[in-house]
Parts: sequence; structure tokens; C-alpha cells
Amino acid sequence: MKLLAIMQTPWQANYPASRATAMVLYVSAAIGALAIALFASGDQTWRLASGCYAIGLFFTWAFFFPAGLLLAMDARLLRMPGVHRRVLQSLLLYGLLTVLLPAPILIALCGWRAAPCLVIFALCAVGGLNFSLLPRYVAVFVGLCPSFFDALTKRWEIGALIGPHLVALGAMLALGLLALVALRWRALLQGTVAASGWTAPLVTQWRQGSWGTLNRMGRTQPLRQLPAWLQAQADITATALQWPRKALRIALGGWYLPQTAKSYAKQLSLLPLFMLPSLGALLVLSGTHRGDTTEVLEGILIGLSASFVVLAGPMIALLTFIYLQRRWSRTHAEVALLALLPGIGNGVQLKRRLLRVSLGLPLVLHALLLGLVWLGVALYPDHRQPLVLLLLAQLAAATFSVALVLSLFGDRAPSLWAVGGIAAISFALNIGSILVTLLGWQQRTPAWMAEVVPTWLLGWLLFVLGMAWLARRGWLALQERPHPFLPFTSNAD
Amino acid sequence: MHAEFQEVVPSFPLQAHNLQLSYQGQLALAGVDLWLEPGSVLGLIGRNGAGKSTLMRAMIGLLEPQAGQAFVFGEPALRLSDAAKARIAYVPQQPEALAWLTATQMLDYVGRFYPRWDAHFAKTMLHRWEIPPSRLLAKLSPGERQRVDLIRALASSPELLVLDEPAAALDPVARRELLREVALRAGESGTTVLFSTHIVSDLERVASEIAFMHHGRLLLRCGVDESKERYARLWLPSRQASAAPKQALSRRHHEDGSISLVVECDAQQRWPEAAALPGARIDALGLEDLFVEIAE
Repeated sequence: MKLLAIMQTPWQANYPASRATAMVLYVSAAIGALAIALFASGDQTWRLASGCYAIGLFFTWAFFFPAGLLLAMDARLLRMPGVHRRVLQSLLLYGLLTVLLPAPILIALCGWRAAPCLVIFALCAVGGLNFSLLPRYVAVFVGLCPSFFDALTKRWEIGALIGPHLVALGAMLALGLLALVALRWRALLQGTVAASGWTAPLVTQWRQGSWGTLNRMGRTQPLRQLPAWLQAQADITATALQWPRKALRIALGGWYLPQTAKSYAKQLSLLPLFMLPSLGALLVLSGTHRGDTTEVLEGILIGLSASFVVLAGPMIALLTFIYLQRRWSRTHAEVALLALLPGIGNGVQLKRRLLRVSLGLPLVLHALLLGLVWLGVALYPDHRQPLVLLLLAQLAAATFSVALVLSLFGDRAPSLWAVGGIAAISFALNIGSILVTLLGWQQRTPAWMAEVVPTWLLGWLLFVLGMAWLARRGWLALQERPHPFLPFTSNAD
Repeated sequence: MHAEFQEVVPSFPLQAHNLQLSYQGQLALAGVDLWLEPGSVLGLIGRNGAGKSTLMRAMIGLLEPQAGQAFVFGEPALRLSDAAKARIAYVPQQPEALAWLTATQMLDYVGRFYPRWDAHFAKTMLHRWEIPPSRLLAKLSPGERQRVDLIRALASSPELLVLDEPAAALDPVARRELLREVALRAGESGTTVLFSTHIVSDLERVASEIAFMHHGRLLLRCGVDESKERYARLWLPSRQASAAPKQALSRRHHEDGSISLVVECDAQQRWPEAAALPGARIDALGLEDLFVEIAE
């Protein structure tokens, strides 16, 4: 009975969606690793199998098990005895089950040369815990570690240096990381380090729900947590009646809020901080005098830009939708104020004005991304054809934004799950577009590509038609609404 | 009740006819008729979930009813002109608007839209209620936010003030100041006020009329003083329980077989006939007792 309670603890500490996501990812990674170990052949099989399993392991220990800390923290505040111990016991149990148990299986399937997998698994588990427990700004840099390590290996023969001592060094690193986890866990539990704000660990974000930070969109809490120097300073000058659109932007807040020049400058000043690791990698690379450096840098730049452009498109649409949906669901907030504010507009004029404001910024961002792709077309005329796919992806993302906003204001928004489904289709089409672009760029277009591209274009066409239908339906419904500041009744939450 | 009221009277600040609304199958308003005459102060009282906030929001066009209509100064509540909007102020239960602005910025921003904005009043009240003028609204306590929103509403010099539990987050001093201000506005400027509350003493202090809401229905509406004369508790012993009048605002059966009812006297100030039966008793009810008797 006690064992069952221990086993259930991480489940009780997580939201249902987090449980499902963690389970799907972990089981998929485990099955993938098993399949590789069973059916692949060669000396490197164990590496592939370990790598596959390690991805699932890292995710689970970074995003699923750390939620036990939140349970322990709450139990401590509520003076509930025994909960912290149960959380620790569950971590120990799952550590044994997910780290120690798979290693002998892999060794049995791949031979003794797979022994280092134990160290890799241990590193992934404690690395995942650290990722979640360390201040969130550390997590940003952790995400850039693979790129940085890759850059280092290009300059120095790190593989040859570490290779013979991989197990010993890995074990020492794992122990060091475990000690860090223990220290951080204790500090967070006892409240001696901040559990909110910029230095808070990632794990505290799961308090907001399965969607983490996305759940905080449109809420007042993040405003309370921001340090004073980072707060946006609204520019409320010239918001007289002749500037109703600017007045609407102020009322919508968030990224619509017009800010003073000083406020924009303060926020942009953070940008170089996040670019430091990339700059470091570039500096390391620039020290080499190998002939392919320029090519490597160019490849990295193009790959990063293409990925950014196509992934940012659907994200703009999703973030706009979620933000506006949240603001409209707060009946005590701006919608009530705007509905009764004289001079902001009436009837069709007000609806058009609201649409222009709420779609203006997302469409400007889409246009900027389009401009970036266009720049690529101008700079690399030989690669025009693969880049055209990226242009299409961006145009489709813009129709996604328009469709979501119109259907939202028309109170005909699809459910959040349906929106997630549409976003998944969009991401799949986008990722395909990147692959086609990058393969085409490297002149490594396989024979099947010629057949796939028309199908891909048809996919985009169908997607855009679907969005046009959603947008039209939303627009017609919006015309029927007495005013646009009524709460939504459709199942968008 | 008040089924006789049918026509839209432009001079009436608020009118609602047969308002019906339900949320996900749950009835929130079950055909409510209500109107406010100019200068009246109507206190809406009822238990949590009785439909008070929904009624207020539907009456000023913040919700679209499934049936019925609401009018503000004779205009359909869902399609108000700027002129009508300039005459209304509404304060929600937990104001959350414009959390990214400071109190001064918010009042400055909103004030530009109102032709009769009283900037001096806004500044004076901010100072008197000790609101930090340059702190973000998001960082104020719930009580402070409610005060800022009340200042916002009062500074627009409204002819119709709709307050949804305005005193819920206020300390006793601020609450008394607010009630004084409301009474002053109603008395001197003829401002019409509709407010909801759980605090019966607030009703007695400022309201000229009260309306009881229960399960989405308006059970009664009367003057505050009138309520003590018009409604009473009729207690009938078990042997007389069968003679209990059919019409009653509430009815409670006791374990010993006796029965208590809240009854209304007729136009000639006569109680139902059962009150004259042997052993029957009529008890006068204070406003709070009346509320509890009806709501239980």
C-alpha cells in the first residue's frame, strides 16, 4: 500500500495534460531505444539507442518529476507531515526504475561496450532536475549548450580528450549535479531562495497549469512579479478622442501596449544578454582558420533563420489568440470598461477598429518575417525555389492569425484543442517546408522530393482555404454581435 | 412582478423587461422585470449565485440575454450611443482593468473620454484614500483597486451609477466614506444608483428601495422602510398548518409540525386571514431577518 502511494506521488503532483505528455514521450523514447537496440546493427547501435532513451529521460526528469517539489513546498506550508519524505522516496524509486533498470537491458542487448549508457542516463536525469530547479535564466543557457559544445569541438579535439575518461568524468559530473540538486531543492523547500520572479526556477511555472507560461498570458500576476525597472511604461500621451486606435491598444495591454521610447529601449537592452552564448560560439569559431568556417557559419545562420521564420509564424497566431481570449474571459477587466467607454466608437466602425488594432501587430510581425525571407531570396537568388516555400509558410501563418482573431471576435472560435490541432498541422507543414528548403539549399534534393513538393503545396492551399472559411464565418458572426465587448460563449477556453 | 410595466420610458435610467439568461444550462435570470426611476437608489440583495451581478451586467449591455430587453436612458442596452455611455458608470465586483497602468495614468486615460470628467475630484480622492499614484494597478491590494475604480466611476459625474458589491473589499472607514458619497450624489445631484451588496446595514444606510433576488428571480421590491410594515413572519402551530396561505415568499416546516411563512400584507395593510387563527403569531422582520428568511 505504501509502495503504491509512493508510486502515485508524481502523478498526484502533476496536471493531467503533463502526465499524458510525459508518459507519451517517455514510452515513445523507450520503445524507440528498444527497437534500435533490437533491430539495428553496428558498433554505434548502443549510442543511438542510449541517445533515443536519454531524450525521453531528460524530458521526464526536467518536466514531470520536479513537480514533486511543488507538492512538498505546499505540504510544508500546510504543515502536512510525511509528504516531503514520500516525494523523496518516489524520486528515488523512479530514479532506480528509469536510470538503473534500463542500463542492464541495453548492456544485455548491445554488449559491455554499452556500459557508459548508465552514466549517460544518470547525467540526463540529474541534468533534467537541474534544468528545472536552477534559476530560469540558467535554463536559457543550458538550452544553448549543445551548440556551444559543437562549436568547441570544432576548435579543440574535445572528443579525443574526454573519450577515454568518459565514464569517470561523467560519473563525477553526475554526482556534482546531484549535489547541486540537493542544495537547490532544500533552499526552495525552505524558502531561502526566490520562488517567483526572474530568479525563480522553471518548476514554479508548472503551478500555472500544464501549459506553463502560456497559462499566465493575460493575467495580472506576471505584472506583479516583474521588477520595477523592467515594467513597461505606457505611453498615454495623445490618447484623446482623435486617437481611438491608440486608446484601444492601451486598453488591450500586453504586446499591444504603446510604450515610451525609454521603456522600449530598456527591454531591448536585454537582447544582447541572450545572444552572449551564440556570440561566444562565433568567437570560438572565428579563431580557427579552416577553410570551411564561412560555410559552416553561413549554414548555421541560414538554418537558424529558416527555423525561426517558420516556427515564429504559427506562434504569433497562437499567442495572439490566447492573449485576446484571456482578456475577453476576464469580465471584470477591460471588456466591461471598453463596452461603456464613450468615444471609442460604435457599431461597424468600432468592430473594424478593434480588428485593425488586434490584427495590426501580428500582421506587422508576419510582414517582418516575410521581409526576412524576402531578404534571403534577394541575397541568394540561386536558391529562390526552396525559399519560396518559406514565403508560402509565412503567408499561411498570417491567414492563421486572421482566422483565429476573426473567429474569436465573432464568438465562433474553435475549442483550444481544435486550435492546437490546427497549429499542429501548421507546424508539420512548416517543418516540412524547412526540410525541403534546407535539402534544396545543400543541393541534396532526393528524387522523391519532386513528387512531394506539389503535395506539400496542395497541403498549404487546403490549409489556407480552411483558414479563409474560418475567417469568413467569424467575420459574419461578428457582424451579428451587438458590440464586440461581449464575453464569449463559444468553448474557447 | 411588475408585469404591468411595458413601455420604454426614455427618462428612466434603467429598464429591463423579461430578462432571461442561462449559463451552460444553468438558469441565471428567469424573466426579470426591473426599472429604476431617476434619482432612486436601489439596493439589490441576494445570496451568492442568486444572479445579482448577471442582472446588473445584462441591464447595462455587458451581457446579451437569451430573451428580453434592457434599456438605458431609453436606448437598447446592447447598442448604446456615446451620449448614453457618458452618463453611466459601472464598477465591477473585483476591478481588474488596465492593470499595466498606474492609478494616475488610468484616471488620466479614462478621463479623456468623459465630457464631464472631474479631474480635481479624482486627484483629491486619490490623496484622501491614500492610493500610491505612481504604483501599477497590478501591484495594489484588492481594496485599493476597488477604491481606484470607484474614483474612476464617480469622477465621470455619472447620472447612473451601477455598483456591483462596491464595499466588498473596503475597510469600514472607506466603506462609510463611499456610502456617504453615494448618498450625497443621489441626494444633491439626483444620481440614480443601482448597487448590489451582502451587507444589509449598507442598504439601510443609503438605499431608498431594495430588491431581493433568489435563484435568478426578483422575489420582492419595496422601499427600505416599507419592508418592515409590508412583510412579516407568520407562525402557525401544527394544528393550524393546513390553513397556511398559498401565497408566501418563503415557507419552512418545523420538526414539531408547525410552519413559518414570510407573508405580505395587502393594500389595506391586512395580513392573510390565517394570522387571526388561534395560536397563530405575526413577527415583525428586520431587513436582515427578511433576507435570511427568504434566502434560506
